Parts: sequence; C-alpha cells; structure tokens
Amino acid sequence: MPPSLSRAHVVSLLLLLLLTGILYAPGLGGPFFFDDGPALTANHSLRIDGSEADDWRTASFSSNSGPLHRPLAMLSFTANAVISGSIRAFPIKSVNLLVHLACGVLVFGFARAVLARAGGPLGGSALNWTALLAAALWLLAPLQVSTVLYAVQRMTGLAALFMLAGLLLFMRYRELWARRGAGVGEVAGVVLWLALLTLLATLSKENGVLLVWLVPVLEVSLFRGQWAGREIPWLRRLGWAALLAPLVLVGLVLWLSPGILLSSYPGREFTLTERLLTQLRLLWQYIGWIVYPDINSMGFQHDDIPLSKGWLHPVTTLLSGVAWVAVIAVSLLLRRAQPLLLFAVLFYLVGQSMESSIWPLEMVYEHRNYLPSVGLVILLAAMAAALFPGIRVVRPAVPVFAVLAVCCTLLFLRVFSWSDPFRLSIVNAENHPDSARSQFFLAHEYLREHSRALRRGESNEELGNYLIQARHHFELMYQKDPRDMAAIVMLYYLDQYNFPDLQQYNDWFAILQALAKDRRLQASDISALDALLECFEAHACKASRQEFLGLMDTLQGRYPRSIYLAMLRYRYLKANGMTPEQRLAFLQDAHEKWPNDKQVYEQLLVEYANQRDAAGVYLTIKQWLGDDSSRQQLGVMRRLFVLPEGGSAGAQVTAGKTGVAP
Amino acid sequence: MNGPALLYRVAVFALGVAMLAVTYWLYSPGVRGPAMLDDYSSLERLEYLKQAPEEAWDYVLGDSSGPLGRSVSIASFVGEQLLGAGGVASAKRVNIVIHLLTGTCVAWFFYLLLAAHGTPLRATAAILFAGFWLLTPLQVSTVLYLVQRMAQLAALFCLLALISYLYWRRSLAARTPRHRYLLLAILAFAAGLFSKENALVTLPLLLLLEACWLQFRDDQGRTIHWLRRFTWIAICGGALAVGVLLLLYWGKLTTMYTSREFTLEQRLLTEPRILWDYVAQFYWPDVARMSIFHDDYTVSTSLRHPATTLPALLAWFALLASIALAWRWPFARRLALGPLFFLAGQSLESSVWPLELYFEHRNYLPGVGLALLPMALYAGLAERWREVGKPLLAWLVFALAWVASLTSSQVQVWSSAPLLAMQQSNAHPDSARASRGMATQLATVGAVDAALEYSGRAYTAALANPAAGDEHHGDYIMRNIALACIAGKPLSYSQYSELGRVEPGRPLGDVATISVVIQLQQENRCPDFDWNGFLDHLHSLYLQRFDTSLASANVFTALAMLSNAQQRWEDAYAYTARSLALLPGRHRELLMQLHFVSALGREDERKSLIVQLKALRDAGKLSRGERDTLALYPEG
Repeated sequence: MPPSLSRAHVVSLLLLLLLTGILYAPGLGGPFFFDDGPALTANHSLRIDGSEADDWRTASFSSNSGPLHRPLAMLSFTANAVISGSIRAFPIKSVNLLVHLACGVLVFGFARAVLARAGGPLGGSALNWTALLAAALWLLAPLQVSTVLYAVQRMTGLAALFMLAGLLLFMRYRELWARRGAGVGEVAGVVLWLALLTLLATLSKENGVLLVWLVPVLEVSLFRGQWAGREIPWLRRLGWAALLAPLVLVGLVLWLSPGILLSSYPGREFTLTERLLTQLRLLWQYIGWIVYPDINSMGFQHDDIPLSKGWLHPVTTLLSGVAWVAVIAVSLLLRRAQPLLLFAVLFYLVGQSMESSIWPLEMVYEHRNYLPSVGLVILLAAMAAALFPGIRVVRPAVPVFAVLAVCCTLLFLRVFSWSDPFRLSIVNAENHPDSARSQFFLAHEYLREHSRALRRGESNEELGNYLIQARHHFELMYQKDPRDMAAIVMLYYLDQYNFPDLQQYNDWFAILQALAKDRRLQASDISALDALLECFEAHACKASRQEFLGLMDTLQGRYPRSIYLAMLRYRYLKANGMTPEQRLAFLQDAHEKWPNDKQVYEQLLVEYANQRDAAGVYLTIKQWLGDDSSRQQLGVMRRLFVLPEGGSAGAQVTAGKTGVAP
Repeated sequence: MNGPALLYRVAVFALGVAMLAVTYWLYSPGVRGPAMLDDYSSLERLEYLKQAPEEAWDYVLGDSSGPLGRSVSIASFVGEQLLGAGGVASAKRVNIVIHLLTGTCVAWFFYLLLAAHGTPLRATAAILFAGFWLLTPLQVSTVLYLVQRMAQLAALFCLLALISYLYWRRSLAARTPRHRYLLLAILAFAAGLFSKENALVTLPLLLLLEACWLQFRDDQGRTIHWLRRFTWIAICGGALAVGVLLLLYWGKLTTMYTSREFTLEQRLLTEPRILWDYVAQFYWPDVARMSIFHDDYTVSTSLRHPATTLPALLAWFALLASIALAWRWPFARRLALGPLFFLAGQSLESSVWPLELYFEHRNYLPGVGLALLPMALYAGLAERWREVGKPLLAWLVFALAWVASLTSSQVQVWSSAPLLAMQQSNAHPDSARASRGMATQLATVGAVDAALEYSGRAYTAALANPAAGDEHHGDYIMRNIALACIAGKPLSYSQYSELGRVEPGRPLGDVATISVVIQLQQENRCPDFDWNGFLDHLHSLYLQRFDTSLASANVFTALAMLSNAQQRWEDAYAYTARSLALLPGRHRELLMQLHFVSALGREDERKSLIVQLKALRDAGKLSRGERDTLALYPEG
C-alpha cells in the first residue's frame, strides 16, 4: 500500500496544479484548429439555447468522429456552448485544462500505487515525492499542449480521465487482494465499476476501450498472480492470457475478414505495411519528445516525417524494429527484478495500440501520447529517484527542480506560441519547413490577415504583401507535396483573382486535371474542391464549363459512390443555369443512389419548396424521418413545423380514429 | 440524526427532485402536440364547458367510456377546463404532472418493498428504478395521449392502494395493526375504479404482493398464519371464480366478438406475442416502431401462424412453470413478483375482452412490474454482496440516461402533428390508421392527390388487416370528401357518387367521418363543394323507402345533422325518423326531431314531441343541456 500523504505532499500537489494552470493560462484564449471545425465551430447542432432536452441529445451525437460519435465529450462541449451562449475558445479550453489537472491528480495517485507495488528502495515520503515528480513531469510536459489547447482533444482528455480513474481503482483493490484476498462481492463490484468506467471512457473516445487491456498490463507486470499473500499460478497465467487475448482476437478477425481493415486503406496515400513500418520509428520519436522535450521538433503537423517504404528506407526503420524487440525482451527478462520497466513498456505499447498500429488513421499526432506517456513518466521519476541520491555532490532536489524548471520554461514557450494562430503557424512553418500542411496553414493565416487588413482599410501595398506571402507559402506547399490538391486549388484561385499576370507561367487547372486521374482523395482534397466551387459560384474562376465538368467526370469516374463529388457537380450546375426541373431530376437521381444523405434531403426540400410542391416537401420529410434511424436530424425536421402550443397548424386537422377529425 | 445520515437524506431528496425535474423537462415539448383518436370523442364536448359551467356535473356523471363511467378522470378534465387555461396544451401538461405524481408513488412503493427486507441503499435504488419506469419511452403514448389520463389516474390510485396496504402490513408486522391504512387502500381502490376499470387489477396485485414479497412474515420473521390462509384462499378462490365465469360466459364472450375482425381464440393466441413485445419495448425500446397505431399487427390464427405464436405461448408457460418450481425459495418468490405483477396488470385488457389487440398505454401500470423485476434482482444481489450495490446503481444511472435520450426523441416526434403522422406511417406502413393520419396531414397543406393516395392505402390496409377492422367503402369515400375539402379542392360528382356503389345495402358504416364532414360544412370550410348534389345522392341511397337496415341509428342521426346544416329539413326529418325507429326514445334525436318539425311547421308532431320530452324532463331523465334546449321550444 502507498504510504500516507503528509501535508507537504498535498500542498506541493496543489502548488503543482496551480503552476500548471498558470503556465497554460495564456493559451486558453488561443484559436480553434483543424478538426475543431467539423466538431465544434462549424457544428450547427451545438448552436442551441439548451432549453429543449432533445437538442442536447442531437448535439451529443453530432460528432462524426469515431463509430460511437463520442457522445460524452460532445455532451461536455454542448454544456460549454449553452453556458457561454456560443462556441468560444476560452471556456472550452479552460475546461480542457481542468480535465488535464484532474488527470494530473489521478496520475499522482496512480504513480503512488504503482511505485508502492513495484517495490524497490523507495519508501515512505520518498515514494510520494517520486509520484509527485511523475505527476509533474506529466502535467508540465510540453507535448501535452497539443492535447490541452487543441479544443477537440477534450475527447482524449476525458477518455484518459476515466481510464486513469479505472486504473487507480484497480490498483487500490488489487493491492488489497494481493495481501488479503477478496470475496465474490468485492471482485464483482470492482469489475462492475471498471466496466462502467471503460464505457464512459469509450464514449468519450474509442481509445477508452483500452482500459480493458491495460488492466492485464498491471496484472502481469506488477501483481504476477499475487493473491492473499502468495502467488497463484493460474491467476498469473490468466493475466498473461488476458494480455495476449486481444492480440489473438484482432489477429483472428483480420485473418478471417481482412477486408475490415484493408478496405479503408485505398483512401490513404500509404499502405498498411508502410504505416506499420513507420509507426515503429514514430513510437521512438514520441518517447523522444517525452524524455527530451525539444519543442522545436514538436508541432501541429508532422507530414514532413518521411514514410518508411521498407525496412531499410529509411534505415532507422530496421533499427527501430530491432530496438523494440530488444526492449521488450529485456523488460520480459527483468520482469521480476525491474517490474517498472515491463510496466512502462507494456503500458506505453498497449496505450498506443489503437492509434499507432494497423488502422488507417493519420500517421502522426502528439496527443496520442496523452495516456501512454503516464507509464513512461512513472519510470522516469523512479529512475531519477534512484539516480539522484547516488550523486553526492548535489542535493537530490536540485536536479529535480532544474528539470522541472526546464519543463516549465518549455511549456510556457509552447503555450505562448499556441496562444495566437498566426504565431503558431509561423512557428510551425519555421520548425517544419518540409511540412506541406504547415505551409498551407501559414498561407491561410496570411489570407486571414489580408481580410482583416482589408477591413482595417490598410494600404494596397500592405494588402498586396499579405497576398504575396500567402501565395508564396501555397507555392512552397505545392513544392513539398505536389499531389495535395489544396495548394493547387488555392494557387489557381489566387492567380485567377489576384495575380492574373502569373497565369501564363502555370496552368494550375491543367495540373489539377492531371492530378485528378490518380490522386487518392483525402478530406483536405474535398475541402479544396469545395473552395474551388466557391470560386466558380462567385464567377471568379474562369475555366470553361467543359473543363470543370471534365474534371468532375474524371473524379466521379474514379469515385462513382462519392456523394461529395455528386453534390459539387450539382452546385456547379445550379450556379450555371440548370432549370428547376433538371435540378429536381438530378436530386431525385442522387436520392436514389444515396438514400440516407442529409445534403440530398436538404436540397430536395429546398427544390420542392421553391416549386411550391407541398406533397413533395411532406413526403420527403417523411422519408428522411424514416431513414434517420438515430433521429439525429429530428431537430432540423421539427423546426420545419413550428406550431402554436396546443395543436396542429393549418386546417387544425389531425388524424382521428376514422382518419380525419376536426 | 447524525451528520452523514442527514446528508444522505438530503442527497436522496435532491436525487428524487432531480429525477422529477428531468422527466418534466423531457416531456414538456410534448404539450405542443396534437389531440388524437379517442381524445375527440371523449373530450371534445368539454370545449363548451366554459360557456355553461353549470353543466359540469352532467359531464362528470354522464361519461359512457366504460361500465362505471370513469367519473374521476372526467372530473379532472372538467376541473382543468373550468379552473385552468383549457386546451390541449394545458391538458397535456396536467398529464405530465400526473405522470410525475405516479412516478413518485412508484418510488415510494419500491422504497417500502425494499425497506421490508432491509436492502442497502434502498432509497436511492427505489428512486432510480422508479426513474426507469418514469423515463422509458413506452410511456410517451400514455402521457401525451390526453384521454389516457384515465389509465394514468387508475395506475396512480392503484399504487396508492398498494402503498396503503404496505403501511398496514408494516403495522401488522410490528403487532400494532393500524386499520385506517386498509380504509385508505379501499378508498384509493374505489377512486381507481372510477378513473378506469383497469384499477380492478389492484385486488390480484395486493394478493401477489403479499404472497411473493411480504411472504406473510412479521418483524420477527414469523409467519402470520391467518394472513397466509386468507391470501391463498383469495388467490385460489379468485382464480376459480374467474375460471367458472369464463366457462359460464364463454359463449357470450364469443358473440361479443362479432364487431371485431378476429375471434376470441385468435385474440388469446395473439396476446402472448404482444405481451412479449411489450416486455421487449420496455427494456430495449425500439422507438422507430412505437406508435399509437398497431392495427397492422398480425393476428395469430393458429399455433403456427405466425410461427412466433407457439414459442411465445410456451415461453409464458415456461416462465410460470419456473416460478412455480422455484416457489420454495424466498428470493425466487420476490423475483417472481415483477413478472406476475406485469401479467396481472395486463389481465383485463390483454385477455378475453373484445378490445383492440395492441396499445402501448396498456403497460402504464404493468410496467411497474417490469421495473420491479430488475429491482428485485438488485435487492437480492446487494443484500448478498453489499459491494455490488453502488456499481449496479451507477450502471442504472447510465441506463436511465440512455432511455431518457430515447424518450426525448419520441417526445419531439409527439410534439408535432405532422412529424407524428409521418413517424406513425413510417413505423407502420400497413396500418390503416397511420395512413389515414398521413392523408390528413397531406390534406392540410393542400396536397390532395397524395392525401387521396394515402386514403386509398388506408382503405386497402383496413381490408387486409384483421386487427384494423374492415372499413366500409362508403366511409372511405366520405373520408375522401373530407380530405378534399380540407385540401381546398373538393371532389367532383363522379368522385363522390362512388359512395354506395359498393355495399349498397349498407353504404356507410361509421359516423365519425360524417361528423367531420358536418363540421366542415357548418364552418363553411368547403364552399365549392356540391353540397346539394351530394345530399341528393345520399337521398337516393337512403330515403327512397323507409328501410332501417341501410344504416345504424347513429349514421341516420349523423345524416340528419348533415342535412340540417344544409337546411334540408325534410331529409333531416326523414333520417331522424329512421334513427328513432331503430332506437326509440333517444333524447338527442327527439330534440332534433322537434327542431325539424318546428322548421317544417308540423304543429301536431311538434306538440306531441314537446309532451314526450317534458315527460322525460319531469322524470329527471334529461341532462342540464337537454333541458335548456327543450326550453327554447314554447308549447304554444
């Protein structure tokens, strides 16, 4: 059992939380980024006053992230939006910070329990100070900025909060059971709590399900079948079986039905093998960022990290793979002498197993380390506690405070750069000059600055400078990644509208047409095409109808099931003289192909309403209601029938027993 | 009381208040929803009550919804109309408040049950399990369906009777019996009976409560022998009496089914399937399928048609057999109370009576038994292993959040007449009633073609589904006339003259749609319709000779009203004469006939009718409203 806490420990923990809060405070008013758009700022379901219960339901399920829609995290965002009256960065990021601080407290408790169980030279007050050091390393790690100040990553924070609560609960009871055993009721009670916490974590973000896998990590690394003061072999074996079972299960599923996994990879510019090889290196890179927080190599985008095309391309792939095998082997060999090593390695790998393995997600994200880093900081703290007392020339507290001071400084600097979108984009582009996305975001910031300067009435020279900078960075982006449509579209847009003289040097539309033949469309490409269409809708872009439709033909030929492309074509045709009858026919055809699509329903309703076809409107809504099995669009449909209290509108007629009744 | 205990009480109170507040919040959008189905026939007259409040007692005592009159329920509507804002929204709000009161009683009842066995965390558990009953979406079609206040009040009083009984039993167990609690139980039972006849199930529920849960024990765990004897005699005697009555009246019951498209045997085969469906909808709600219309439900015509009939029946038998086999264990008896409560609660409406087959509101009181089953399980587990109590309740909170989210979406659907019609039609595309509802919605926005198409679907579905009951072709045409009028595009001669083409010997079957047409005509909402041509057509169908087999008395009366609205007194007189020939002496028809003969100047008949009506008045047989109407016609 961990030793009891003294007042000094509690006060130090509170001071640590206060310090963390102070360091993060400048970043709380910072901007929204990237995925914050679809989940928060552009999410109409969150624009509610909160008076109707069902609005909370639809808002809670309004995220398109993950198969479960992450309702618990979205519920917390809904509460933020209702209390603030809108989606504002400060209150949302403040809650993120509170979640982070709460996680920090749990990390402290968890570290105490783990260190106590792992044994070793630490005891009494030293163990609590070591746990506090672990919590400090975790709370103050600059790597966590991209979780805490990236609004939508509250999903990660909440999932980690519930998982840490579950892990702490397990440690507390398992420690008791190791010493005195337990009855059925106590075990069942803990299992029920763990299951509930797993569910809550999973409803925050799907990673939460890993709590079920992390429990066997604790069992095999720290408890090893200990029960009522002795080691029970079958319990130890059960722990290992539980640890290996998910691997076997996933392996079986993929072996029997590989399509589950492989069907998603055509949407990516890398293969499954490339992802797995690259992740071997990235897992070391993440550890590097935790152990040696070089904030210059951190960033929001990491698309400059090269893919591993084979074991020797680059050669660090092989080295990383060998290193992982070695580390796992060593930790297994030393599992009794150094249980913390096995704990930290397994905790880290299992914690990363969802996002850094086989699934076709984006390659790199810093926030993926939020929970997995907990095991590492506990190991680091334990190593520091073991190391510093051995150095006689310095007092142990000195290097500890020095490390923490460095962490604080780096954290402050990183938070400072995250507090302003323009500053963050510049820092990212400077630190990652080979990152196409960093160039893109910086170019966008210049365009925003241009808009702001326009409103301020600045001189044409100033305005021109912003546009030149924006174009420059779009061009840099194109050079770094000539296959990303976003840069080409924006360059086409800018040259058509702002730099007509440059059109003679580059035929961006032709480049786009060529790219359309073999580019695997990403979400960013769809957004780029959307921007292109806005240009055409505003009649700012001059490509001929034939050229644009040719581009769409190419893309739709490759992606015949893409509703996005179909609706882009519809918007273009609508803006270019399509008759109401043709529009309706187009939409009815689209509705047949994509029967449940919200966009098609909305456009159909608009068309029927324009044509004053009441039957069309009613029957379309009826069908939409039937197709919307989760009733996610119910609020939208309800608002189409705003009725006075107490009855039906119109002829005041509704269904009676015989069909019609006044 | 020490600090923690006080804190616990405050927390439990706050939890209860929060549960009620959340329920009210979830349901409150539903007040925007429409009136429907029986709301019209049962409550539409109440609209005139504000103009004539002195007729309040006539309403309260004059209800004919059931054999006992349901005076308590009607009194609540009358009181609300006189004292409150009136209108559908206000009435629905009252229903929601009654739901909260009933939910409070469910929690109270559960608490007393758990307290009887010293279950840990009993107050919290009682509130949370009652919360499941409060929040499950199956209740929406009771709470937001105005006229089902009758079912709500019957359930409320039944629960009060059960609670009173538990207090009496508590005093008996302590050997200090307080019989006033029994008196309260009897009063509550009586109030329940006059709310809706279902409250009769209170009697078997009391017996089951004693036999299954309290198990005739006193505070020291000793058996109260006289109570055990009395309970078992009552249970066996009751079962025997029901069996004998069924044997004696089986033939009569069978003949009562002539108005239905299914037989007594078919109903008995179908209900086990429906009961399982209720159970599924309570625990694992499929809101997309929930509706007030289930007239598309497949009737079981034999044990194998449909194939689920026999398994459903066997599953119920298996359940009952398991209960019988496990009866020797006290915990099993407690566990049995839930299912037996459910079955007893359903015993009136889901058994032999020739009622419609499926209604969700029939689960309002029986649902307490379904909530009781997991609570009994919780009690057993938490009493055996205290450590599982809190996590089980935490899981229950999660389940509550889940059912609350389903209920909130269902309430949203019920808050809008068009959405409700669409959802019902989607959920039950083969339901005649759902199609009629959809047709009406389409008509209100002028979409006459689509409205007539859905009306046609309704007609076809009514003929196809035994659960729906056949529809007369004439009623279908009459509905089309109403729909076309509502849509502002009246039917032509060639369309309305279809009425009577099929079944000329009985052109119309029901009065309800004619009533709508009458109202449309009275309110001049269909000025372009060829009213006289239509009435000529009806004249040619009904008045060629004095033939009372062509329609029911009510249809003749309705046709008289229709003619009256067009000031065709001769026709009105002739229709009323046929109605009176079928059912002589009906007050309303006599008063109508008085009006028509007055308009036609037939003095002798007028005087004769006045004499007849005055005799009725003097005998105290006329209501206040009828007396006022009669007073408008001076004898001279």
